[in-house]
Amino acid sequence: MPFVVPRWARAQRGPFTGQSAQTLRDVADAVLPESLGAHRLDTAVEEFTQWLRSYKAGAEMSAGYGFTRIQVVPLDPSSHYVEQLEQLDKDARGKRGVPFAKLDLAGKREIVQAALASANVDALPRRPNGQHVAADLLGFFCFISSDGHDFLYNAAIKRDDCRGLASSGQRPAPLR
Amino acid sequence: MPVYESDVCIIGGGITAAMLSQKLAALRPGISIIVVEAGRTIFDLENRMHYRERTAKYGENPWPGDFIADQSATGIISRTMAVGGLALHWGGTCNRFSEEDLRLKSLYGLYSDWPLEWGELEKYYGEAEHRIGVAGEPSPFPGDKRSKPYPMAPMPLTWNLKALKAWGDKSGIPFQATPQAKNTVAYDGRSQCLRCGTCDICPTGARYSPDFTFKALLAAKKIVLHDQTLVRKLDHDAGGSTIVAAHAVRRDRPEEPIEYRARTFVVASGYTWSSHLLLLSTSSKFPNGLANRSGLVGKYMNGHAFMTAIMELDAKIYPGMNPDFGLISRQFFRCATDVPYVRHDLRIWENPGRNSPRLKDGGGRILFGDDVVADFRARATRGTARVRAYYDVHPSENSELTLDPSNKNKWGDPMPKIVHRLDAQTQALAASTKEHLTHVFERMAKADDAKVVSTTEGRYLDHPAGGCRMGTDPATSVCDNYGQTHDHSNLFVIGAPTLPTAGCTNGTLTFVALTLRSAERIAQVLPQRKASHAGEAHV
Repeated sequence: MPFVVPRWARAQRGPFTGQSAQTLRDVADAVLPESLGAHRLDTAVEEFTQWLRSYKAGAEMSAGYGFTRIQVVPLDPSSHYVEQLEQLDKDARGKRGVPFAKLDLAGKREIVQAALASANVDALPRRPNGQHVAADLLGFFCFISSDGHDFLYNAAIKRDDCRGLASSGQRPAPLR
Repeated sequence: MPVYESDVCIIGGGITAAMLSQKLAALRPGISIIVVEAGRTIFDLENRMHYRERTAKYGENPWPGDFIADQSATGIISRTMAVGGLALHWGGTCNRFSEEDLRLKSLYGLYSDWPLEWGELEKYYGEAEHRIGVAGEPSPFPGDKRSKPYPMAPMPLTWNLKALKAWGDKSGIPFQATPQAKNTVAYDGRSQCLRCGTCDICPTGARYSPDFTFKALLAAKKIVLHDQTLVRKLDHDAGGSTIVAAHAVRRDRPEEPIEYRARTFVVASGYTWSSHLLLLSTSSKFPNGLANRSGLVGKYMNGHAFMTAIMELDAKIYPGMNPDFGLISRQFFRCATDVPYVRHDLRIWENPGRNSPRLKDGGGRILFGDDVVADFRARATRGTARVRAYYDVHPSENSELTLDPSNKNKWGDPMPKIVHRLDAQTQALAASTKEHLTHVFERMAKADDAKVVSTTEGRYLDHPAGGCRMGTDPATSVCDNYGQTHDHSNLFVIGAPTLPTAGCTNGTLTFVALTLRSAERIAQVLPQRKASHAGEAHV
């Protein structure tokens, strides 16, 4: 049998545009570490967006070692992100009478928390799974982003870089 | 039907085929060598940085198309089937076995001795390390004495490994850098390691993989390579003592069978597909397949068992510094004869940490923003290490590879099914082995206020081998210690299948060392007659 990309994998939606992109940035304010600062929050959102843009559902995955299994990259998790982001805005307007973007940090978090509960999100996904964009964004930052990994450890590990052998034995420098 | 003639036909395109081709071409200049591989050629170093990124970010296969969907086996550890074989994506670990592996019967009364002297194997280890390009440092144990230094200085320890080595050494168990087929300086036309941390897809070529050897041999016109060509059966002459042909089919032209004729055939298809091909090659004279008068083709399939501990310790570990590189201790490669037998290596790697960022704290309160970070940092104050022991176990005769009639490829060939079984003596030692390993982990934990967080036992035998074991007696083995089959003078099996046991550490260097030794025999016995150029088709 030749390797065939499943039919469900062939049609994919692009990531965010217009209002949804802005709402995603507002969600980042709510869920990502505020101590990142605005610039690094922008970068984190851009990295997440870029990851989604280059996502190839149905691509061949490693068959693994020990217990092998032919598998493919799962469905595009972003299929319902725009709806989820729109719903956050609706919830904000319904509960607080203002758009999501106009809420203060506590207000945004309250709306996001309710949305996660409604979507039955109990844990951070190790890779975005589409259950909710807010959890996926935070999970992406914690588990996939090299910058996020460095931020958690407060160290310039730079695991996605090819760093050379010379610096191998040195303790990774603290982030500035 | 295209017929390809050569002096040597090598079936399989993995690391042993690469090493055999390279050495044969040097020992017997001008001979014609055809390498036939079922999988495809992936000679695209220029794409590997991209593959690396896709793997790291999305979990995509770093070696796209490195398997054949319907050419699968039950019980295998990897689906990889491509030019380069499993050593395309190996970790590059190049440990040697020890003399005790070859003397199990005479030293411990267990299983069987290898039909080979340690000193003989040791010199080929040195050659293998130089051909592959291994970075390592000498073992502190006298029993590990080497006749030749490593060609390159060892991989420098990362910050993490320095901390973990200090911890391990404190327990009285000396650890050192694991020997790696990775360049610590530019070597053999390949660059120095850039510590990309993704050794299963090395984007720079600093980690050895057989595609480099094949590319060089092809460029020098030393070999002809037929990829995507599945050899389905070997045929013998009327008397049965000589193999005359290999019958194959190209995967993209399935309607057009191919025949290979050669003076010497070498099965270099790894621990699964070597036995499989011999078992498929039945005839009225050999109803149980070729090289199988002993009935032992596909028997004594082996590997080593393993036990893993996740340990928590007071060291600052930064996961991701070079996760595929670790430490080894060879302290337990030897075992006194007056205690329950147990032999194993001991390995330490950095570990991603048992505490992950989380959405809810222990009280169920949802966490966002800096609270996620603070909660993580509060829980991740201690480092974690993954400690593993690969330990020696011995197969029973019915630890076997059989043909599975319920699983066939598109040509109707039954696929292999591997079921590992341990001999009675190994089974009797299971409790004392587990007790010993648990004690070793606890000893390490005590050394520095560390803690064994969890232990797990491997659910498969790793670094597998066997199926065509070597020996001196044709009644109890398939081939001699050169891989020359007892039943057919021009049929060799090389590498992993020939191992009587899999030792207690990674086997690739041993497969290569044995192959290099086989190469000398094959070169020696190959008739002088000049064949036509390899790859010329005669219809």
